[in-house]
This record gives sequence, structure tokens and C-alpha cells, in this order.
Amino acid sequence: MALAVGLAAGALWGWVFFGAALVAVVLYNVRLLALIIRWFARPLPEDLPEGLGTWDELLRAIHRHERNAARNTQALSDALVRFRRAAQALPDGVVILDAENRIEWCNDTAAAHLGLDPRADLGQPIANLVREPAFVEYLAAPEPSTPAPILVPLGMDTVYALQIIAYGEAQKLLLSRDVTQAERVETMRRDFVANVSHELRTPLTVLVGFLETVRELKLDPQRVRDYLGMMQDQASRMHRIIEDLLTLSQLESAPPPAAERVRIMPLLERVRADAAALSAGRHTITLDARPEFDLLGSEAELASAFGNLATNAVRYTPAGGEVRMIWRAGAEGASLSVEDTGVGIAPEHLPRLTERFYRVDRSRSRETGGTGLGLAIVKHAVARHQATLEVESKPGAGSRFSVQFPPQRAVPAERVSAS
Amino acid sequence: MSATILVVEDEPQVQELVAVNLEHAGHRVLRASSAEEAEAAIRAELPDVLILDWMLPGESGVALARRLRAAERTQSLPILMLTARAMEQDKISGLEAGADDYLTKPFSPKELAARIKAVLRRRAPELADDVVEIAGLRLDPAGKRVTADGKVVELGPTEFRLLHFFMTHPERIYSRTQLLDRIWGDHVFIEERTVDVHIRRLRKELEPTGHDRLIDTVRGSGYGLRKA
Repeated sequence: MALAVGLAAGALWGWVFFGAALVAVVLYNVRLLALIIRWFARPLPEDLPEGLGTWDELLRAIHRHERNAARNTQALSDALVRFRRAAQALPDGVVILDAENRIEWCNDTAAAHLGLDPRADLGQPIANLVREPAFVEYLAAPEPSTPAPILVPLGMDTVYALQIIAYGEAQKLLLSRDVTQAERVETMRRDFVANVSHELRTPLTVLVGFLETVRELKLDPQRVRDYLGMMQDQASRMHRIIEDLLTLSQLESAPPPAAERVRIMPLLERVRADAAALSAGRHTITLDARPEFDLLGSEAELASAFGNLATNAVRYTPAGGEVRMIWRAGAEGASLSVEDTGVGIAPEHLPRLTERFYRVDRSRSRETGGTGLGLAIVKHAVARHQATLEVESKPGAGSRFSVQFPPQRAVPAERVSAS
Repeated sequence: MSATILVVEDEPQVQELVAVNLEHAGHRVLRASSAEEAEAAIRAELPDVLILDWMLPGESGVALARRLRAAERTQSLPILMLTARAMEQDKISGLEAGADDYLTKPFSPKELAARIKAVLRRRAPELADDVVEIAGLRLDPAGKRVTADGKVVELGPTEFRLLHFFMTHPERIYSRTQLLDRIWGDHVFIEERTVDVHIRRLRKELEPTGHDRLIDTVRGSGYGLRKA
């Protein structure tokens, strides 16, 4: 262009024009550079200045690059959000710790388990917030990088399993899981085993001890007879405990009982007769039953449940007392109640009555030959028939145990042809 | 050896088992079925040994053991725990509560008697029937015989017990009150001067062989026995 101006208006004008154009180009470039530099301070793709010629190509390239970078960043942050949502949704608590055991992030479950504030506590050393000594020690232990979980009781009778998993460069994941329920089951199992061993040890002590005594000491014949009698008692006590344990374990593990028709009248008669035999005439035992309905279920299990209720009533009723068995059935269901005029049960014992080996009065249970398993058997047997066990009692006034069966368990009795 | 043993056990048949065997071994047996009854019995008479079940109705045996250890009168009462709790942790808790020994059910009555003897030997050697000998003076608790340089010394029953106690606890001075508690039994109200009378008699019987010099008198303090 300068050349054209030069040719048309003479060399001087050509030079002048050339110079001016050069200055304009330089100014333009400087300004654009300044704009680009300013843009880099906040590089949003849509704010990128536009340019001419080569600038255009360069700026387009930058624009493309920026757009990709922005897309990648967005994808990354989306991934992070998704990851945190996933971590948030885990049923376990998750805490991310840095090399100094400071909290980088935690999910809401962990916050609830460990009493953390998911925002305010970020950057805090975890040992300042979870101060349980066992945990602090576990956290401080050098190796191995992924130790076995520890059980830490926190708050009101809840137990958490906490585990540290090392990852990345000196970072750690702290996982927490509520194991209160599992621990409770485990404690019950342990207590049960300890109780069985204790319950069997006592009669065994008498047996083994008197065996040695009778063999080693010079005793008069009357004493020897007494001691043999005691040994006999304890041997049958052990036998009863073992029988009841077997019954219980069958009730727990066997498939649901078949819904066979159980003829209720002969069953209740047998239960009454057994109770009368145990009572040996010391109690009045009555059966009040109408024969219109039978039960569907397992005869053996029902006999065991009803039998335990009746013999319990006899055991815990002083001589001269009364035991009443009442059977009621209709379309709305059926129930068996066993009432006695016995010693009764204080209210604080009621919730624990069906626990294995739970006894309100050890010495009475021992004297009457109880195994401590009767009501546990009743509870299981009854539950297997979708029935419920209810207990009402007043100390000194007697007790009433009733089993309520749902309608589908009661069926009209088969007509026995009159003879 | 004859000691007074209190058996605290809520199972009557186990109580009978322990009692008959200990009576046969020559001990006097007192019985209690709960921590409460045991405390009443101990208040009435301090036994030489306590056999304690862990699981008792009401307060547990371990809690009772802990309380007895804390009280001045019963802090050195030998306690043997006899219990169905057989786990190692239980044994540790029992021993930490202050039991001297721990025996689990079922147990052998012979072993029980042997362990009581061992506990007594440690805690109250004057109740064990081991022969003791100091500087030519020889005392045989089973044969109720004392010899000095081979010669028989005739002692009254109280002097015999006094000498036995001194010989099993040499080189220590005991006050008159302590001697009354340990030899005449605690809760016995006898004048302290009675001790002086029996010490004088004991000295007199030991005089012929010169063994009376072993008996130490510390004015205002009490009496003891030197080993040489």
C-alpha cells in the first residue's frame, strides 16, 4: 500500500505513509498484547480479545486450548463431586486424613459417628476431636499401614469399628462402622456360653466332689446315702439342662413347624396331668377349655410351651395355691392362659424373664429343679406359631402367662361322632 | 493343724461338700450363704481362712473380698476363691480383688485341703502343723511336743500356743493386745496382764536349758522371740 501511495504521490509521501502505517501496526500489536496479558489474569474463554491476521490464528489457538482446559476442569470437578457424593452415600463413615492426621474431608456418616462438624472441623487434627484413648493409640501406632480395625465405644452404648487405610503419599482413609448390634449379638453369645459352662459346672462340682469324698473319707452309711442322693439330684439336673438346651437349639434352627392339626383337648389334658404329677397334690389345678377349636402347628412344640408354663406355675406357687389353665378360641384367634396364686414377679424382672438362665430367685429355682431355660423355650416355640407371650404379675398375688394365637392358627375342631 | 474356716457358698450341696471335707481334715467350719451372712459371721468371730464363692445372691464374692481387704480387721484374712468362673480374666480379677488363691469348680476336695494348708502356711504359719526349730528348741504342732536340746519340755496349752506363735514369727515384737488377738482370739476380752502371767510361766519352763533368754521383753512395747 505504501508502495502504491509512493508511486502515486511521490517517494516522500510514500515514506510518510509507510511510517504511519508501521506506527499503527506497532500500536495495534502493543495494545492487543496488553489485552492478552490482561486476559491471562482472568482467562475466561469468552473474554478472549479478537485480533487480525496472524493474531487471529494465535488467538483462535489459545481460545481452543482454553476451551479444552475449561472442559477438562469442569469434567474433573464433576468427577470430584460425583466421588464425594459416592463417598457421602457409603453406609460407612469415611474421613480423609493428611500426613499429620488432620481432617481433609469427611462424609456425614463419619461426622455423625465421630461427632465431627463436616465443615468447621476441616484441617483439625482428628486426635483432638476423637479423644478415646484406644483410638489415639491406634492412630499413633507406626505400622502396619493398614492395621486391623479396632472397636471403640463412643457415646451412649454404641460401638464403632474404626480402621485406618493408608493410601497415596502419606494420606490415610479412616473408615468407621457402627457395630453395636453385631457386638450385642456377640456379647449375648459369649454370655450364653459362659452361662452354660457355669450352669453345668455347679452340678458337676457336687458329683465329682462327693465321688472323691465318698471314696476317700470314712463316713457313716447314712451320710454316704445322703451324698449319693445329692449326686443323683445333680446328675438329673445336668440331664434336664442338656435336654432343654437341645430343645432350644432345635427351636432356633429347625424349619418352621408344619401346620398340622393339633387336637387341643387331649394336649391340654396331658399338660394338666403332668403339672398335677409335679404338684403331688399340693395345689388345685383346673382346666377350663371349650373344645370347639383346635390349633394348627407342631404338637411337640406346643406341648413343650404349654407344659413349661404349667410346671412353672406349680413351681412358683406355695402349697395350697391354685393353678388355672384357660383355653379360649374363636374365629378371632385363640389363647391359652395359665394363672396362679403364687409368689408373683416384681416388675423389674418382667422384661428379662425369657432370657436364658435368667432367674428371679436362684435358690427357689434350684429347689424346684428349674433349668432356667423354660420360658426361653416357651418364647421360641410360641414365636414359631406367630403367637405372642404376655405376662402379668404382682408380687405376692400371683402371675398370669397368656399365649395369643392369630386367627389363621385356630381351626374349628373336627366333629367327633357322638358315641 | 486346726483352723476355723468360714465357707461362703450359696449352693447348699457345694457348701456341704466343702464342709465335710474340711471337718475331716480337722478344721472347724462355719457356713454362710451370702456376703451379708458372711459379714455377720466375721463380725462375730474372725475366722482363720475364708472360702469364698464368686457368684452369690446380692453382693458378689469379689466385691466382698475387696471390702474385707480394705477393712483393718480383715485385711490380712486369708481368702481362697472357689468359683465356677474359670476364664483366665476371671482368675486375674479374683486375685486382684485380694484373694490369696483361686480354685475353680469342679475341684478335688483333697486339692482344696492342700491349698488351704498352703495359704495358712503363708499367712498364719502358727496354724500349720510344720515342725519348727530355733536354736535347739524344737516344737512339733502335730505331736504337741516341745523339746529343748533333746529334753522334753512340759508346757500348758496356752504356753504351747504362745511359743508356737513366737517361733513362727521370730525377730518381731508383739504388743499384749496383738498377742491376745492372735493367740486367745480376737473379740476375747481378757486383761492384758494375763499375757504377762503366761510369758512368765513359759520362761520358767525354758529356764533349765537356758532357752528363756530367747524370749525378749521390750518394756512398754511387748514381747518377741530372738533366733539366737
